[in-house]
Amino acid sequence: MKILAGKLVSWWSIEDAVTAAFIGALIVMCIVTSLAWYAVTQFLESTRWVDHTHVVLATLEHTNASSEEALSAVEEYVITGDPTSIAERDRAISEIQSSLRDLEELTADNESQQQRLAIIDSSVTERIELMNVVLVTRQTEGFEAAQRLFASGRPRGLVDQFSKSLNEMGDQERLLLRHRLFADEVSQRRLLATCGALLAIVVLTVGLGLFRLRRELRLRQMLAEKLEHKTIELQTSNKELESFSYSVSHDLRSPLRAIDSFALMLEEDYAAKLDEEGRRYIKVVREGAQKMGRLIDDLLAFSRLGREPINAVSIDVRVGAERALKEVLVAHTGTSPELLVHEMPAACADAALLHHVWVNLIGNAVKYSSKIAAPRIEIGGCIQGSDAVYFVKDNGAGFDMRYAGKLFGVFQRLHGAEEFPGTGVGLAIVHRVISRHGGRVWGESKPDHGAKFFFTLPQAAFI
Amino acid sequence: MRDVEEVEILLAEDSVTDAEVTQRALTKANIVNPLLWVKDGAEALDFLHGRGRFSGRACAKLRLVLLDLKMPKVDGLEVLREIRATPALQTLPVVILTSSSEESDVVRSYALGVNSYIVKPVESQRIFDEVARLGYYWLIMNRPPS
Repeated sequence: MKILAGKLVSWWSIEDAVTAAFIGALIVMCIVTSLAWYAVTQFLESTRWVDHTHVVLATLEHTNASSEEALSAVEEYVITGDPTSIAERDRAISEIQSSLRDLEELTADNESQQQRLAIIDSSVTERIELMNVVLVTRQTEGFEAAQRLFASGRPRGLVDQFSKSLNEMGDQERLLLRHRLFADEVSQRRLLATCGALLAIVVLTVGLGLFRLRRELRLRQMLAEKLEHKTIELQTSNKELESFSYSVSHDLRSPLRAIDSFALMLEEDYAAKLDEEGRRYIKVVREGAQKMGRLIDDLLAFSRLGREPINAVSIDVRVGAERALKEVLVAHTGTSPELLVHEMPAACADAALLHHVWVNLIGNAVKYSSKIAAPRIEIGGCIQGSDAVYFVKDNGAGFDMRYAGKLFGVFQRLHGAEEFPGTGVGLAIVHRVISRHGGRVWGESKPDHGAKFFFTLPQAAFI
Repeated sequence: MRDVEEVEILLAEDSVTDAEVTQRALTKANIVNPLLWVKDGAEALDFLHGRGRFSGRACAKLRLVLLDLKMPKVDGLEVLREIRATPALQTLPVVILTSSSEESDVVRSYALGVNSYIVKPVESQRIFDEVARLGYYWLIMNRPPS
């Protein structure tokens, strides 16, 4: 069962299984309700039939009793000659006739009962005539003649015939009731069986749904626990990284500073005692120390940008780009490049983090176009689907697309430090910041034909 | 050791080379106010409170404290906290002079009432320039409460 259920549930997603179980249960409930409704209606119908039969039987009984009454009234008249007996007989006869009319109505849908009723009807008419003959005989020929006629048994025989027909009608009516009740019982049994089967289906479906749901919940619980574990691990490693970068920033810089400072002091105090080569050595020592200082600073900046929380809001990207441009140009000493800043769409980003992106991309554009006669830098952006795409374009040294894959790695450089200074961390910072925003960054270039760097950010309207 | 009562600048710095560089930078900038160099925060507190090897010596002429953050025994932030908690030293100008550019250190220092926070650059020429400027500012330009 469990294996079967497992197989069955693996076909469906949890949403499908729960929805199917719910809808299935709902449909089956509706069917069961309407079947129950039908059963109740049918039960009421059978009750009506039972009532009907009882009414018919009672009316038959009443007819029989009235007929007996009429007969004894006639007998009394024959003996006493009391005219009140005639009135008694007439009342009994009208009772019989009204009962017969009732019976006719009650059995209107039954051919055989109608036929029996017709026989009863004619025997009643015959009896009334015979009674009239007895009455007339009493009046004209006296008690003796009437007594003879009555005792001859003819009226009694007629009564038997009449009673027999009434009994037949009763039997027929009872038989009919039995057949009807039997048919109803069969159909009700069938209904009950159907309802039972449907309810079993509901229980099974809901049970399967529940089984699947419980399994899914258990799975999710496990995943949540795993995630929590990973989060704690990540937090720990983040803390370690933080203390690591803290000691890097403090402990590594101190000896470097000693190297550079004492080399400077050596130069200041003992330059005169050294020859040209000795002074060059001091210069190399100092340059090395300074370069390492810059590398440490950049590496720390790179590490910090990966750990700082992102506060992404809708920002005017162009304002940030222009601020970065100004900052870069203030520090720039060579030929001022021609600038072209286009309109840019707003984006959802962290302005402080995005500033590092602009400073590095614009700084690179200025740096790598500084050696040509008429440097030109273009900045712009546009909407592409759900993203905002921005670019920084220069007409400088460019790079070979074969090495494009190395562009964004830490300490990766496509130009020598003598050609263009730098630590190789700038584009790694750009990549890290843009990735953390859920965007992409890429570069297009040809050697000596400038470079164009693109990056995407989520559109402001898509926050 | 100089005459302790005459000390105007207290330099708390565990690195011998850094302390030498700072002192040379001040001397080169012609800031020759008497300076006392201590190697950790405990010694700095001893001097400030006139106890231990400084027992009975007052620091009445002290005008500036230059504090490194990471020091053995008692660190710079602890020294700063105690200076600000001592009524007699509350208004004493304290400058953090450190290698750490960690934002958390900067924030904590200012929260404890530091007067200035200087990150020591690696490049020696800039160290000399900045220490000289710092000396000028706090010992010549700045007017402390009398």
